[in-house]
Amino acid sequence: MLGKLIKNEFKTSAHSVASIYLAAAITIGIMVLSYFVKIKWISTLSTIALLLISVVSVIITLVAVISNFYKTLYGAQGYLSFTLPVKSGQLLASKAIVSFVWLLASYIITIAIWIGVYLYASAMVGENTITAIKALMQMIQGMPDTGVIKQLIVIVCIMIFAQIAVFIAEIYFALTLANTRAFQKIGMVSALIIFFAVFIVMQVLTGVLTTYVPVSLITGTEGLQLTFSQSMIDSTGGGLTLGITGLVFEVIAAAGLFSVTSYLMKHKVNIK
Amino acid sequence: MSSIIQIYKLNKSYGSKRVLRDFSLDYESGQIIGLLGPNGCGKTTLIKILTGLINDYTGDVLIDGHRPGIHSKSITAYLPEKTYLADWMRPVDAIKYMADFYEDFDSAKAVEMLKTFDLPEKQKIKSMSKGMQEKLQLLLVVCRNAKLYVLDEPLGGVDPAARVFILDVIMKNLPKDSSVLISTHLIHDVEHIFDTALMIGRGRILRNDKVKDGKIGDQTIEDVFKEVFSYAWQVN
Repeated sequence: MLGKLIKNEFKTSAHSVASIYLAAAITIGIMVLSYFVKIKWISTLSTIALLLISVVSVIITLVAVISNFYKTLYGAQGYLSFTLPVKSGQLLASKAIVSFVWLLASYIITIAIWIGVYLYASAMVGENTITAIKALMQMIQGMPDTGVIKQLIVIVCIMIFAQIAVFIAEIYFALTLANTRAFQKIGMVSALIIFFAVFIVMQVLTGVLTTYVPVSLITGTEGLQLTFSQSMIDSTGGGLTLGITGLVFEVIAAAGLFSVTSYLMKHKVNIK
Repeated sequence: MSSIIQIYKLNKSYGSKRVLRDFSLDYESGQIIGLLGPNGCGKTTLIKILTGLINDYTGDVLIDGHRPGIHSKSITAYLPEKTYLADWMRPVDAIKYMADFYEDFDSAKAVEMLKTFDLPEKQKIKSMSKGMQEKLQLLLVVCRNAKLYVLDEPLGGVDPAARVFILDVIMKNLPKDSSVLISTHLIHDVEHIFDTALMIGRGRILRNDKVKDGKIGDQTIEDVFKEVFSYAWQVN
């Protein structure tokens, strides 16, 4: 059933976010065209439009994630969602997985657009971008610690994934708790208050754990090494110190928030 | 016959307001139950509990011997008062959606009924009139071969001709051995189809009677209803 839920969730959410990605694709098409026909003002306008779209796409995706979750569970469509013969955990998982994919896609597309615009602008002013990229790659490959860079990239990716997961968990938890008996009278304001309260507490705890707990990854000539004796705050230099307790906490907290949300959906939520 | 709905000491409150008090009942399968009462008496709350939309209650509720959950939802076809389909959907999408999740959904019958109901397969729901949306939802419910049908005010807000049409669709399409719970306050139109009349008010069961030929004893259901609920309109 989870597969069917995910399939239908993609169909539903695609209607909310498709328009912005379509706009980005059209703008890119115009940019490429203007490059070949050498019309500068179209090129400039489409470049600015694309940069704006890249920022707006993240915002629109985020709004779509929130509104889809609310509408399909706690709006009128909740009458359909909550009467499907599926576990509340499956319902939640399908929404979380699809939201995660959309948010990640919006980040990747935004980064890709900015890199693309940089390369495009370089080409427009006559720089040989291909040569520049090759030189950059040669420089990276020539570095003695290529392995460390790769490991760092993996760690950063994991951190981004964890951040997205926590963010989705916080949103879902706030919207769900706001639809229980205790908070329903207050309305959607309660969802905002709950979200910011949880968000701030999570940020502070993650920051403190990352900085002060002496469980860190330290860069060295043999790659990243795990240490239990040095925190980020008492880093002595000589290598990059990366506290990882915050990351572990985020993963556990996201799992905890999803579990509580699933419990609330099953036992406490009132569909209006 | 086994029980299709069993409720024991069900209580539900909204804040300090108790909507259902010590509700207990037991219905065997295969009957049409009229859930009757004035507006705000708790009919929809009871239905939401039976369908798993409200979970914070006390007492025991069993559908076909199971608490509201995956099993009960797989055998219950529910028609709510609200339009619950997503705006972007078209009838053909709604049919695929139902077929995805309900093993007892008859897609071929649904496609056939779209034509009978004069509903365009590919018209977006958001561009449909309220009447068309209600027809589509009714179609999606009657195209299931469910054990229990829960219909919340299926006749509310529609003209007399539409009421006849809706009742006709319900009676012609539901499996013979299924059970039906219909909430309504338009008793006159439906009293002839009931096997049981359950009247609730002030959070309690006020009457729970067998019906024969649209009558409870020698009174029509509507007369009994007027007698039972006259308090609601008394000024003194």
